Amino acid sequence: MDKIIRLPRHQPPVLHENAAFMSFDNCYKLGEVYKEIIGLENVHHFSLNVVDVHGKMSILSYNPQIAYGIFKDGSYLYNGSISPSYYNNFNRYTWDESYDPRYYHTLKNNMERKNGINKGVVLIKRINGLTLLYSFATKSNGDDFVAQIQDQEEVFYQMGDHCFNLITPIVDENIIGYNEDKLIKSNANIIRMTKKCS
Amino acid sequence: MTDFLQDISKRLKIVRLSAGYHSAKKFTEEYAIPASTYCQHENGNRALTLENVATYAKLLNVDPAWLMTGRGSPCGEDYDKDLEDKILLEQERMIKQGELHAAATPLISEKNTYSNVNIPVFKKVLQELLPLLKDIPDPNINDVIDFCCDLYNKIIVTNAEGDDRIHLIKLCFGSFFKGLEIRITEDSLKNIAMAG
Repeated sequence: MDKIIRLPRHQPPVLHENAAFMSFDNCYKLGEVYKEIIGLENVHHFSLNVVDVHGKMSILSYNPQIAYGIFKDGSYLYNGSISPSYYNNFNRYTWDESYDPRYYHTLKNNMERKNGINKGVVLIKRINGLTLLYSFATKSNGDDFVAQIQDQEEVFYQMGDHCFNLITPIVDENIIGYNEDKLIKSNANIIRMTKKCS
Repeated sequence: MTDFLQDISKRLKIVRLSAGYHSAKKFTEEYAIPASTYCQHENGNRALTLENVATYAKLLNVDPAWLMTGRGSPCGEDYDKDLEDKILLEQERMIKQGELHAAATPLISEKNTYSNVNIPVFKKVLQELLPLLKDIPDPNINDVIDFCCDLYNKIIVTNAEGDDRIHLIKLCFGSFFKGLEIRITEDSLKNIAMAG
């Protein structure tokens, strides 16, 4: 990574204070939950990134080493897949189309090739002031994966919703401002308010 | 030319320089190799055949499998530590600069019957975790084994070093015991992390 400071071309994310370690800290539970979708529909990696009401992003990843690597070397600043410029303006995009072109090869290598990944796709969901990034990736054919998500977007949203519902305790514990009563019902994509347990 | 073939060319140059041939001309003259052909191979303008790879690997004292794929150790069975250190140093520099693509790190996966594993790291994970099984009520051995493999996969890929690596390992083990609702002391976590 160059030591010369280059301004990102898109807005860099504001990270939660514990963003680099949150996935490691909860890796066992996240692994248990995410394994329910890993292997389905050519999904080999999943990360659920949560942007809270204050605009801070938390990373809850099946492969925490991916995010850790780009945070450590600073290349996350040039990774549009986690940039507000992308998640605030688009509902679906691939990882590599959002990389800053000046760091394309570095990010492509560190995010994807090093981990055997051929393509990553992000789906955006906005709910009650939160922005959820359902980030799927495949080790299978990348073009086919993108087409698959385009054709069966609802299925992938349901997978993301399912995981989100199951990790609400982790979200509650780690992310400020999230109301534990709000659950996403994947079958109808309807948000239902439930009575808070006393 | 595809990235895969370009990377072979780049590794060829890395090895040539690491072996002490500061110019392609010097290398080709020593072994009576057509200079023009070799330069095209090294610049990525001409694809290498398997025979080329095997020949260059033999002349430069590296493992042809590494030259081809970038996986494993550069020097293979004929281990030359000095040469290997130089190669790995240059390779790492090029990877960090984005000039060379890192080969996907071999991970433990149920889908593969065989896998390259860093044995010392994996052994240490097992050595520290297995004695703690007695503290786990009704341990599900399969869960424990799966966790060991997952932890290995996570730490072997991350570029964390020293205290950072220890911290990450500690977090992962803490997560495991938290998931099983088992209390574990900080000292035990630290011992496990130090083993990694």
